[in-house]
Amino acid sequence: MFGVAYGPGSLAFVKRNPRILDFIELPFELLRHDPSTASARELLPVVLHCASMSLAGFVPPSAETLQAISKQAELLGTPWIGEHLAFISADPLETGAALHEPTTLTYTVCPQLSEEVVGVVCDNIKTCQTQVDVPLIVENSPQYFRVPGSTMSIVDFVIEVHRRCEVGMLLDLTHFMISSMNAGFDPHEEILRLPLENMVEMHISGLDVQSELAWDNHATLADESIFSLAQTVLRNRSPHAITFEYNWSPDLPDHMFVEQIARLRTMLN
Amino acid sequence: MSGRQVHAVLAAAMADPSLLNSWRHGRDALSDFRIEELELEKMWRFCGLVTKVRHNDLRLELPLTFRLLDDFQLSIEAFAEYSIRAAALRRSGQNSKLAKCLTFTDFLEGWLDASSPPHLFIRDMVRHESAIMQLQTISSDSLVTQEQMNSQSVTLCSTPIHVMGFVFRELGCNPLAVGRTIYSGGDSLSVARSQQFWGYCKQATNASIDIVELDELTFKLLCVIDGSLTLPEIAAALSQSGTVYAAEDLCYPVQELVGLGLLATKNGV
Repeated sequence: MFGVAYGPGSLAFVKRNPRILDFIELPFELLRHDPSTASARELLPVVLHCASMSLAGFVPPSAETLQAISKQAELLGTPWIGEHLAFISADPLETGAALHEPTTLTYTVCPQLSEEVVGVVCDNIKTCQTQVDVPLIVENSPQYFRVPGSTMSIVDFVIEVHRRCEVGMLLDLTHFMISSMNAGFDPHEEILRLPLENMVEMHISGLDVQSELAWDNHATLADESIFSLAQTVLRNRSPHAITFEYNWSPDLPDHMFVEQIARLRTMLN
Repeated sequence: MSGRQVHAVLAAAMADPSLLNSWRHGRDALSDFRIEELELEKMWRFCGLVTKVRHNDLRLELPLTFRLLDDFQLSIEAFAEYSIRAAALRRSGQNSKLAKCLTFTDFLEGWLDASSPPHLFIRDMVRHESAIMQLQTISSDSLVTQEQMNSQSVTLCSTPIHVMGFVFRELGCNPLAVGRTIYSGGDSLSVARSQQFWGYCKQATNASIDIVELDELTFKLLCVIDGSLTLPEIAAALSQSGTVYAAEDLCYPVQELVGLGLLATKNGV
């Protein structure tokens, strides 16, 4: 199955190009803010994506948030919920001159890559899975800076999470490529160490390099480095679904996106 | 190093860019948290990415500005520097799309470097797109039709005034040519640069916005006109800036602008 992440140009692309995609990936946070976005299911089936469970965090989401996620999952009929191996909430700072309330962010942050956090992730996955009636699948974070106290690579962190938890994988190729560029490892070698048999969904998006680091960029199309990495993965395993995260810009050229979909179909065949 | 403590510090920095910035300029405060290894510059740039994502809704109003910021690899740095103002705007509750747009474009005008060609192109697009955005916020109902304007005659005693629905800008390039070049996949830096003057006019009848190139005299006239000066006073003001015209010679260009609906005369006289 091929899908596109919900964004300013996504629905228009789907209408202009019927029968080329199979689903639209909707973010829970947008649904919560604007329930009318659920009307996307009038065009195509919907897969729910989430950035609110803070699976790799020490401060869990509220019961109200988990209930809202569960309700949306049921209303939309999503086959699974994709969530990030990251944190969005943390304890307040209590020492020094900076005193803050418990902090909740609106963007996911790559966690400390350590045994302690692997344990926290596993506990959180178990808890959150009991609250929703569809499988959770977990997405690898991009690494932009070293998190103090990390004792393992992001690849080993992901491997260890999947070794200890029964959970599906949402493999974000662009996040993996970004991590490899910023942390300095070979993406083609390392990606094959992941338990690809757990892969349910794959994400693809653009990236760019600025100020000496690689960055996620959903306003541009994936480049050859991402397609090359896709080839490496798809030679070994195929996911149930591939989502193009082209959801920041309203004016990506149709023909280039259509070509990319065709190219991936060929790789899968 | 406790993952819980590390996450608390990271989240506090991400939630409050001014706190992160204070750490960048003086690491002493960090000693309270006993975390020595923070990659503060990379975290600062990540703050830029987060701020950029928070402003994705402005891409519809500022598509060329966003595009050039990315093409010239400046978006992360720009949004990092903007993050403190953006956070202050959110805290103030005045976070409408228009407020975000105006604050961001105002920031860019001050941040962009007039000695750098890529920065100059971005500045031109900011001015171009903010002019269009400004007109889009004006209701067509409040605009006077051209037929109503055409009836006004200009004499030496006339006091020209600006009309709602018309703004003008001095740019260094043809913004329409930049747009065409970008969307055809060309190099925006290849667009010729020269001092140019552009007018943006919202039609009362159909709310469309006409974009026209102006000549230098017209631009200078428009800059001097402040709703209180008669034609002789306008001629005197122009002379002081080196543009010498007799007051009688200004009747025709001002009449033309009135006829086009780009100016009016006070009390119709």
